[in-house]
Amino acid sequence: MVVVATPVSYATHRATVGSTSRLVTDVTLEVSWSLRGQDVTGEDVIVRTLGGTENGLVQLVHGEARFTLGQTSLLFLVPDNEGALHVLGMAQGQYPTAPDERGEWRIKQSPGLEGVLRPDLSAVHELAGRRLLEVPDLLANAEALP
Amino acid sequence: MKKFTCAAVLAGLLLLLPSEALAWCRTTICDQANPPAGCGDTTASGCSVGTPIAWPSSCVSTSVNAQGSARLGITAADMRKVVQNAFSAWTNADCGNGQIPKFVVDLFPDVNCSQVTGDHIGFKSEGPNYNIWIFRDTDWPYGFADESAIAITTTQFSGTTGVIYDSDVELNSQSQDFTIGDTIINMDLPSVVQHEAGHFLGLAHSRAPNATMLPSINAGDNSRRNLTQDDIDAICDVYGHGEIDPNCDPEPRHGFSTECTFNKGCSTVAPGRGATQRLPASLIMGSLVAFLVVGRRRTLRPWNEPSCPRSNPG
Repeated sequence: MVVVATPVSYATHRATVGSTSRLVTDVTLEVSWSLRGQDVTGEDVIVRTLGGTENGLVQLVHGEARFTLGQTSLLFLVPDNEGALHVLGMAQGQYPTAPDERGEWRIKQSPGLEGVLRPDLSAVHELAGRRLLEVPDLLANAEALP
Repeated sequence: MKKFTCAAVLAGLLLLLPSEALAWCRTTICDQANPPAGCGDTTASGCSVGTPIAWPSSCVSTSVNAQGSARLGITAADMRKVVQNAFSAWTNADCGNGQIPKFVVDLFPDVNCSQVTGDHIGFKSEGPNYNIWIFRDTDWPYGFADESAIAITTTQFSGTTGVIYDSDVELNSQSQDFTIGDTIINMDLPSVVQHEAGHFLGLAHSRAPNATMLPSINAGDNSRRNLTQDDIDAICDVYGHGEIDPNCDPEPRHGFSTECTFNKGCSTVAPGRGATQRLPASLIMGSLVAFLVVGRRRTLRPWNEPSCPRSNPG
């Protein structure tokens, strides 16, 4: 599933991840644009990320997507075996968006990523800095690759 | 070919950056209740805006899981050596003028944790703690999101001050064939541990070419065993330099335990300062001697066994 969505609330709790008990945060996001998968435009989706804040302590999983309330992101999502949605490739599947000086929405790299080793092979290199409106064509181009 | 050309041009441009350009980043946190300006944004150098995290004192302890990796034939003793070498490189980085970072990492006794439960991850507010390195030979729990992840570091810290409480590292030995030696190199464990140790110390990823803190590594690459100037600049900046407080206590909050589970109300006997092997000040001289650690070693003192049962039957 590929969507553009904005976090509106979150809740941190313990959950079974694989065979382990982990602190997770369920982020509720309002979808403004569905690009791939089931059309959930105008609906809320819940995305589960590893870590979270409990009793004033933050548990950070390095490389995981990081959400800020109100900050819209382009998201590549994938369900786990229980149906909970996660960001594909952790921070590699999250692209915060923001308007530039001309008011055009552009894509940035995730704050959880902070750099890539192989820019020639990275989707971040392809997407960061691009206009949000270019994404459908970029997705189509990627899907047309052999 | 075009992609290669673009990458080559980019690499060339990066090499042309001034030597003092900052590429390294610190791990930061945004207090959602009182976010600083620009929280969640990324700086021009690619770092996240927020309050940086760091250990609260100049010493901390770490342990390896007693199981090692049966699948890969890596023992706890093997892992102890790798972890020791990694932290030794970080804490003995040359900060200039003969100075090294004002920080030491003590290698505490091995911890007995199950590879398949999550009880070793995170800070325990009710009992003893440990900062553990653990292989996961089966049931890598994060395959749904990133099955190719080599290792994942989980760090717990204050949401307001950024003071670190706990840091644990899980190594994906289910899908990664880690190797240690210099002759047959698959996924180079010393390089991976060197990188995750940087996270342990509060560093985030870097964009500097060949930096240990670059966020990914290819099989066969053992170059990340060696810190680059960018990595050294980072650790020297974060922890400064000078003498370690002789009273610095590396014991985790609420004490240390060699067991993942514990009996409430049953306190372990704290090992106290200097109880274990303090990672030595060492001379690191490039890749050929990455494992040759020479220098001062503090006296070992026997660790006091807990007076309580070693496992929690409940």
